[in-house]
Amino acid sequence: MKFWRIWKGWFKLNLSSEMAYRLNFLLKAVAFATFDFFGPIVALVIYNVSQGLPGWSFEEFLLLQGTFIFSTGLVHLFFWGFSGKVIDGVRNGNYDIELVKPVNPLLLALATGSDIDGLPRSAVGASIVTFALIKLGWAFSVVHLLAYGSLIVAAVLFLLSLQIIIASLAFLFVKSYTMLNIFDVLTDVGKNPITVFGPLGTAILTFAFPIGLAAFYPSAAILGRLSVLQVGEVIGVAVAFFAFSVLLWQFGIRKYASVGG
Amino acid sequence: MSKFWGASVIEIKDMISYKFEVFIWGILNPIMLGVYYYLWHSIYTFSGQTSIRGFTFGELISYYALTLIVSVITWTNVDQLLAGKVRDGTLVNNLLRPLHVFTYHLYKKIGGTAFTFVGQALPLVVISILFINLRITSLPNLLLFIISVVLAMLLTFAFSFLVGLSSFWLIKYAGVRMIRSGTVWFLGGNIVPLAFFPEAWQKISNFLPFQYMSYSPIQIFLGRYDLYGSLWVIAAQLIWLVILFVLVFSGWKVALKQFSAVGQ
Repeated sequence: MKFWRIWKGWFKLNLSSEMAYRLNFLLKAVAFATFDFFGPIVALVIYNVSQGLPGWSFEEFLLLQGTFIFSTGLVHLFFWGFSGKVIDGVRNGNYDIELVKPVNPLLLALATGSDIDGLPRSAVGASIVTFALIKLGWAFSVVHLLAYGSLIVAAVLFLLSLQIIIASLAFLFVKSYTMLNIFDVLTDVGKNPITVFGPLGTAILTFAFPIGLAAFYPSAAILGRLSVLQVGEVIGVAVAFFAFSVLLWQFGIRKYASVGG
Repeated sequence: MSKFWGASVIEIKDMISYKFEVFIWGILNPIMLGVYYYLWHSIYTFSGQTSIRGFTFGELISYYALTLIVSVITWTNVDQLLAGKVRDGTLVNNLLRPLHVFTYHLYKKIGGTAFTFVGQALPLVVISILFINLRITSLPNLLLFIISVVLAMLLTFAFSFLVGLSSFWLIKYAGVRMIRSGTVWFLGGNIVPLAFFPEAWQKISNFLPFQYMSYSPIQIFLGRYDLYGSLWVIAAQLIWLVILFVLVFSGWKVALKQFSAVGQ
């Protein structure tokens, strides 16, 4: 409860600060929305010049693209600023101030990581998903919708875990801004059906680095291509990844030297 | 000449202190190329097509490799730097220097590119030659490609600087920067070759500067233009360069009137 109270307070602050520069906010919203439409445009181009990807019709691929935008947009909205703030604090040597506050440092960092820019992204993602489902003539199924929702939560958990890992590395290496670039590039892999990377690639992107969670698995779930067991397995991987990231955070924060760099 | 070396060396020294940040892209770019490889391999195999819009699979992967190589050379954040300086008022330091802000940053960009070429583009060139069979189509094509890439770098730089001038009127610049980089990236053919787009789109592209920032130089390298076509690309790049330079320097005079040197 405390977490969400802080999150809400921070979100309002973030919103009012963005509203002070309305034109910039509007331009950013337009930019994010435009960027996010690149994926569907590329999908349109691919299916226009070829038969597309094996096992994925154009509408299904669109669903996948929309799901990717939706899940990454949600992480952006809820926690995006988190890792950058931790890296800044560690680099300047003033992260100490966060440690003396009467809240768990990880929870506090997460609660103050919301970024309003994630809102247009999530909205674009949700619109593309809805459009694709309508085009697919998707037969409403509570089970499939629940599986989709659960996997989206798992996707957010996984993407958040990556952010926690990046922030934890800041305690160990101080300069870990570059890790954010690595995050962007590796996350982008999840825009595609992971089966294109072959059986080994699929296994790696499911169990070792489960970026398939960002779009592939939720899309497969809503299309009824996953069993309950498979959904459970993938959620388990996300939880395990999250647990690992929290352990790394706890290890990292013990190494925090407070000297900057 | 000494001013050029001075500014370039500053940038190289700056980059050396952040060498990890520079060299990590030497690893990330091949990963991106790998993603393109698997994605398009799957599409070609599934469709059973040997050629899509005139691109064989090998040519398309070479295209993506070249896109990444060219983007290492053309990438610039001069607009962001300019916006930052306008915002905190430190642009005044640059105005006191015996070198135009545009020229100073251009010299720095050239120095920086020399460094990033070694750290980021060269590994990609080696990997592309070894693993995806990237080959020089002909010596004249290579020479014309080099000229065209240099012009593409100048074009991208001038365009970014021009857009960056809007920061004199805007308090926050992040949104405009995103639109600028996204437009250059997408309309430059970095995500999908422009040949894959509908013909009308391609015709419109001919009248915009973006295809000359990446797509056209790569087409020259791949030997998809004859000599006349390649020379026409270079001529178009020069024309756009003149237009953008005129806009940059006249825009600069207008923008500077907005500058108060106290920050925003």
